[in-house]
Amino acid sequence: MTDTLLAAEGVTKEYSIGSRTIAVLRGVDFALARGETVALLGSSGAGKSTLLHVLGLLDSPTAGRVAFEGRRVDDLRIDERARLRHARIGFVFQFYHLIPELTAYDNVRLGSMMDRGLFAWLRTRRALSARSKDLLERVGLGERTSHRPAELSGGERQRVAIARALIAEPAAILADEPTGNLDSKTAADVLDLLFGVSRERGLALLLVTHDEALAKRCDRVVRLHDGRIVD
Amino acid sequence: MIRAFSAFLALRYLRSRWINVLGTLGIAVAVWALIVVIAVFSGFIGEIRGSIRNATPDLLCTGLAPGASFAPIDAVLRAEQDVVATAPRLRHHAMYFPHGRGQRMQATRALATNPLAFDAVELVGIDPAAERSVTDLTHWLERAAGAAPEAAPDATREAGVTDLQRPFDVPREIEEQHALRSGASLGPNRLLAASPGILVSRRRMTTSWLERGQQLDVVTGRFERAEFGTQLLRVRRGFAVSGAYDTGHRILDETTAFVGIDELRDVLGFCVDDPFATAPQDVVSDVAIRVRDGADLAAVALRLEAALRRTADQAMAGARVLTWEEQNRVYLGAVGQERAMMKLVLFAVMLVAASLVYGTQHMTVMQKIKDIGILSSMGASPRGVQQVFLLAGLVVGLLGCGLGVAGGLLSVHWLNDVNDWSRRQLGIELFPTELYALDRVPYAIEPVWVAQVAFAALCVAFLAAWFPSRRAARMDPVLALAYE
Repeated sequence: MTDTLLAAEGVTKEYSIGSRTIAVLRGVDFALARGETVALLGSSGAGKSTLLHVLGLLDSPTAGRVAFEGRRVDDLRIDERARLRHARIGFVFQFYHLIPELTAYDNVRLGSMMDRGLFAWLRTRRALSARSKDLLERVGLGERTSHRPAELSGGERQRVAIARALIAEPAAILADEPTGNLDSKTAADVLDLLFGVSRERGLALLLVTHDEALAKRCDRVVRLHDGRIVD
Repeated sequence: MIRAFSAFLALRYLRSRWINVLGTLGIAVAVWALIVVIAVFSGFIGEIRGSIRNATPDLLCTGLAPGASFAPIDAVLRAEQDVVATAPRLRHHAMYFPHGRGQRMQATRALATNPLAFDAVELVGIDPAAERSVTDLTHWLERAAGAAPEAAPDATREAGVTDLQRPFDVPREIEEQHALRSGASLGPNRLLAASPGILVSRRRMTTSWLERGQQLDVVTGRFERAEFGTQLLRVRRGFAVSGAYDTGHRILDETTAFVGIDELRDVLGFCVDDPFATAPQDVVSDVAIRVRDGADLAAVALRLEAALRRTADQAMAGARVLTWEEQNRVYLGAVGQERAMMKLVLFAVMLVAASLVYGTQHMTVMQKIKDIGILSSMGASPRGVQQVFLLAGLVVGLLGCGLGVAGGLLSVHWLNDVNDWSRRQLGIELFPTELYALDRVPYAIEPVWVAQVAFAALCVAFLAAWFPSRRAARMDPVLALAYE
């Protein structure tokens, strides 16, 4: 087994708008090792989020390949990619992206239902529900489990999102500007939490950010400019 | 496989979106209407079939040559082991009008040429004793007698026959009583010639203002041999209304009058008392047949038809034996067709319900685009995403179906109570029973139909939800996440 968890080799991503083709990523080579924390820095439109989506198998590259644990995964069938994404990759977004109808507890619990049939989940729901509660305790929201996203602050919502990303015990967390919508104090708390769980569980963390200071907390910084990695 | 998250989210979306009640109610109303209307329709059809069955012999041998004799036909028919009884019949079309009206009409040219002044009728000559063994003649007479007691201030206004065993007998005093009351002349010796009896339906008695004992002039025609070929001979014969019958089969009752078969033979020129007549004296046009209970009518009819055609008798060469359903094939077919059309029309209500389900599910998908992106980022497969909205549609269909079936069955069960209450309290009769001469609204719940409706409702809900759900499954997760 290789030490590289997630890798992009010569990844190009182009979008067509009418007769125009816009290249967002131009032959990107990138690797994320197990347990490593990497900051992906770049200006707006540099292609950071697109690279994150391609690495997270939400989007397919136009050219190049994506490998997970040494195995090429960008050419997998759509449901196989979904299964891999669920089992091994957790996403944290700038705008939290929680389901508004569900409580904090249900939002986290939902993550445990993705790869199970209804009856299989019903058989194991006690253990999975307990795990959801434990994770909410871990992110400091043990008392807010029954609150809906609208009843939580920005920081609390992001904690719920982190707990949800952890429920399937992934190997990597891909965070797209997770503090971009938070004040500095809350942002610091959320980052502490992210780095903390990453260390505790040996998770690889890829952090997309504009913030140089934040990037310095990571093991490595990768800069993206105009669709290319510049250092 | 149903994904756990699909079922979980489908129920949550339904709970938080009251607009889904619209789809549920739409399906419920469609299912309810399909069950109630068709149950009432089936009830009516059951009543109609029952009345036709009561008014029609098991089998009818018809298509006999003119002047066919009953005895040889009867011998062939009775040779079949499943035949229990037979009865001769003679049919002929005629017109009648109350005695005396003809003379009055001659005075007014306009009236004389008005065909509405006559009542057209199919005269059926029967032998009451034999007829009783193949049909419910006694019951028809009893029904008519029992149905009009309120309209019987005197003997002549009674509808029932005097003697059930001899239904064509008209007691002389009733005939005289009617003649005196109507001011008709009884002749120089105040004597009335005894008239043969005619049975008209209770319905006709009411609509044509006929009374028991009333003299009717029956006019018909027959062909007679002449010097050069044949000539049409007009025949006019007086009959007296001996009473009424009521088979319950409206069409038969409105078009038929019964007379003694020998009387009709006489009218048609078959001289039953003439030992030197060349034509057979027991001439018939049809033979009514009763078969053993439980026998397969169609099979017996086929065997009889074959047996009749095997004989060398030319009178039976074109004979056909019809079951009671075949005798009323056109009418029964028309009624069945009406029910089929009603089903089709009501299914349109189901399509309206389907559009409601489609609309609400489509709206849900459009409002949940971001959720679709979130689910994809969490590892939901497109099939799992599709299941969310498909299951929501199915739950709407199931709830609507359950409500509709329960409501439909309860409505049918309480139909007559609701109808009575509505008539008493609101003055509105939802199902006018008098129109169909019924004392209650008939209904028949067909479990197979209820199951078909329920299944169709579920299929419709499934299909209506399938299109929006497919759209959800095909969404690009990256675009969905960025959707505002």
